[in-house]
Amino acid sequence: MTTIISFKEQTQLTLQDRPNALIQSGCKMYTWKCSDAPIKNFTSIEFVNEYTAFLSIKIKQHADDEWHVCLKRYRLMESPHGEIGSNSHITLDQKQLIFMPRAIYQIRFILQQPSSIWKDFTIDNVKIHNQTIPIKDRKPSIERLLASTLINDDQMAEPAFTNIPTMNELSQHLQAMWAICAKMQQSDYGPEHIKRFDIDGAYDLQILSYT
Amino acid sequence: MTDKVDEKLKQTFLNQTQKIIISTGKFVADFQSLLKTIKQSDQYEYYQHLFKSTQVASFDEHKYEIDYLKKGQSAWEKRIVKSLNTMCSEVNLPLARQRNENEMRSVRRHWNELGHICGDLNRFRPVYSAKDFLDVICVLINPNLKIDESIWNCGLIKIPLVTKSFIEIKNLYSDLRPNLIQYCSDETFNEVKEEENIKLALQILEKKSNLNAAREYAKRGCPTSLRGKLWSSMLDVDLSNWHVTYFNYLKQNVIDYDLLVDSLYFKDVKLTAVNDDQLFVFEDYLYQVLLLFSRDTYVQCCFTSSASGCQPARSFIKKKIGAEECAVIYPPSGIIPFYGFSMLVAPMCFVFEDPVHLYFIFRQFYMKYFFDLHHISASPNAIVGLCVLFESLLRQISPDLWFHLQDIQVQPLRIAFKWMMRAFSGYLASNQLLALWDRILAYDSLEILSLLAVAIFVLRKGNVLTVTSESAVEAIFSDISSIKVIPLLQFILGH
Repeated sequence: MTTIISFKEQTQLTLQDRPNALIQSGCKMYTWKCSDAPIKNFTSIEFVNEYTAFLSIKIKQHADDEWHVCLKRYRLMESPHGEIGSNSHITLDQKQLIFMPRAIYQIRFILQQPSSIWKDFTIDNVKIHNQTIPIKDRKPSIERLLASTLINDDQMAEPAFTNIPTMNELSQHLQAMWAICAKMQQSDYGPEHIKRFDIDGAYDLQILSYT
Repeated sequence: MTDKVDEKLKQTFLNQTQKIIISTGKFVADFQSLLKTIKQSDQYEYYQHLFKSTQVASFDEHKYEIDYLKKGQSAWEKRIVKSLNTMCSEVNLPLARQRNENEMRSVRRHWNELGHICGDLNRFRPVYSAKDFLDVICVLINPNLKIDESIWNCGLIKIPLVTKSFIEIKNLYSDLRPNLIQYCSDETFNEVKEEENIKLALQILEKKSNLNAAREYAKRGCPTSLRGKLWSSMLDVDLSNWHVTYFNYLKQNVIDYDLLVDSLYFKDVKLTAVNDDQLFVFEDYLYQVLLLFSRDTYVQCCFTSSASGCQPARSFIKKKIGAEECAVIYPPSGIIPFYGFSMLVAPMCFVFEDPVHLYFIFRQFYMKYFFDLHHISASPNAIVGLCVLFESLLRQISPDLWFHLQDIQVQPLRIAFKWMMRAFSGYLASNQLLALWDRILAYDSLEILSLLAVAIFVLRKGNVLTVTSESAVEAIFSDISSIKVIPLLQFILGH
C-alpha cells in the first residue's frame, strides 16, 4: 500500500532572540502526522529531489513517543553546488535507515542545502510504501512466518495437482514457456539485438514528426 | 554486493512467477497473456515495488536527469527536425524511398566507389555546425539558480556543474606526468626498449578479453603496429563471422533504400575529409562506413542508455501521422549528422584497413564516446561537462590569461568548442590525433579533450597577452596542426 504525503506546513526557523526575523538558514523542516492508524510494515520511502543536498528523517512511532533519528544527513547531491543528483528520483528502503521503525505515527523531514546559489530547494511526491498483511494471518511471528510459506505452497499445490492436464498438453505448455523464455532472453540480454528499421518492408518517408 | 541481492530477488520472483503460471492452469500462448497472468496475481504489486526500490537504491541511473537540460535537448532536437524538414521540401526529395532495380544494380556495382551515386549536392547544406550547437548550450540557464553577475559573468556556460579540479585531473592522468616515458612521443627512444614494449603488448593481447591490462598499457601510448589490436581489445570488438554477416546485412539495406541523410554524409565528406591532404584518399571508405552507420538500428541503444532524455527523430510510414504502429525512427540509427561528422571516422582509416573491422570499431567508439559530444547531458563526459571543465581548468591554471581574455571580451570557449566537439579530428596531425585517441580509450574518459584545449591556450599565452582584438586571438588559434599532443599534455600536467 502507498501513502501519499502532502505537507501542510513548513516549520519556520527563526533566531532565538529575534522570532520575527526570517533567516536563510539553508535548512527546512517538514512534519507529517498520520490521520488515522500509524503506518505499519513500512518498506520504503519514495520522493523526487528538487535541489536538496542532504536529508535527515526523524520518526515518532506512537503518540507518546519522542523523536528518533532514522536517517542522518543522507547525501542527495554529489556536490551541493552542482547539478548532479538535483532532480533525482529516490527510493530509500528500510535497509538504508538507522533502525527499522515498527510503525510511523509522525514523520519529520529535515532538508539541508548549504549552497547559496539556488533559489529554492524541496522534495516532491513523497510517498511511503508499506506491505499490507491480511488480518487473518495475525499469529505470533515465527509461527506466522512458517505458516505463510506453508500456505503459499498449499495454494500453489492444490490447483496444480487436482487437475493434472494430459501429458501432451503439459509438454505443450512447457514448450511454450520455454520458447517465451528463450525469446525474452534474446531480446533483453542478447549481445546485439537487431531491430528492423522498416515496417513490413516499407520505409518510404516524406516528413519528420515533431512529437 | 547489490548485484547479488538483485540476483537473489530475481530468482525468487521467477520461482513465484512459475508457481503462479502453473497454478492458473491456463495455456500460455504468448507473452501478452503471460504478462496479464502475472499482473493479476496477488504478489505482483509487492514484487514490482521491491524491484523498483532495489533498482533505484543504486541511484546512479537518475542522477544525470536534470529537467531543464532535458527540455533544452528536446527543443534542440525539434530545431534539427524542423531544419531537416525544410531542406527536404526545398530539394523536393523524400526522406527515404526504396530504390528501383536499376538503381540497386548501380549501387552494387559502385560499392567501392560510392561517390558515383551521390547526385547533385549543391542544394544540400549541413544541418548544424559546432557554432549552432554552442549557441544552444550557452542559453541554457537553470531556473532555480540565483544569477549573481559578479560570479557568473565570467564564463560562457551558465550550468552549475561541478567538474574535476586540476589536482584531480592531475591524479587521473598521473601516467602522463613529464617524468614518465611515453611510447609515441619520444623521438630519442631507444630501439631495444621499444621492442620490449611491443613484446609486452603482444603478451597482453594474447590473453583474451583482458580489458584492464590493455587500458593500463595504452595509458602510455600504443605502438603504431599494434594500435588496431589494442583498440579492438579496449572497445571489446572481437571480429567474427557474425560481424561480416551483419556488415553485409547493412550493405543490403544501403542497396535497398535511398535516404536523404546519405546526401548529407556525401556533402560532409566532400566539405571536410576530401579537402584534407592526408585524408582525401579515404573518401570511399568513409562513404561505406557512414552509409552503413545511418542504417544501423543498434546505434539507437545510445538513446535508451544515455538517460539524458535524448530522443531520435521519428516519422510515419504510409503518411499515417500519429499512428503508433506506423512510427519509425529516422534515420534508422537515429543520428542526424552535423558539419564535420565524417571527421570522426576519417582518422580511424589509418588504423584499420578492413572495412568491416573499421565499421565496428567506429560504431563502438561513437556509441561509447562521440555520441556524448553532440548531445546535452549532465554527465561529466558529455559536452556540457567538458565545456565547464575547460573554463574551470583555464581559470585555475592560467588566471592571468583568463582575465586578459575577459578584459578584451573574448570567450576562449568559442574557439575551443569546435575542437572538443570533433575530438580534435581535422585540427591536429593524424599521428598526434591517434595518440590522443589512444588516451581517450585508455582512460575511458573524454576529459582529456578539455585538458588539451587548455594546454593549447597556455602554450600560446605569450602571443595572446600581446593582442587585444577578437580576430587577432582567433588568428593565433586558427592553425594548431603543428601541436605535439603528448609533450604538451606532459607540460600542462607538470604545472
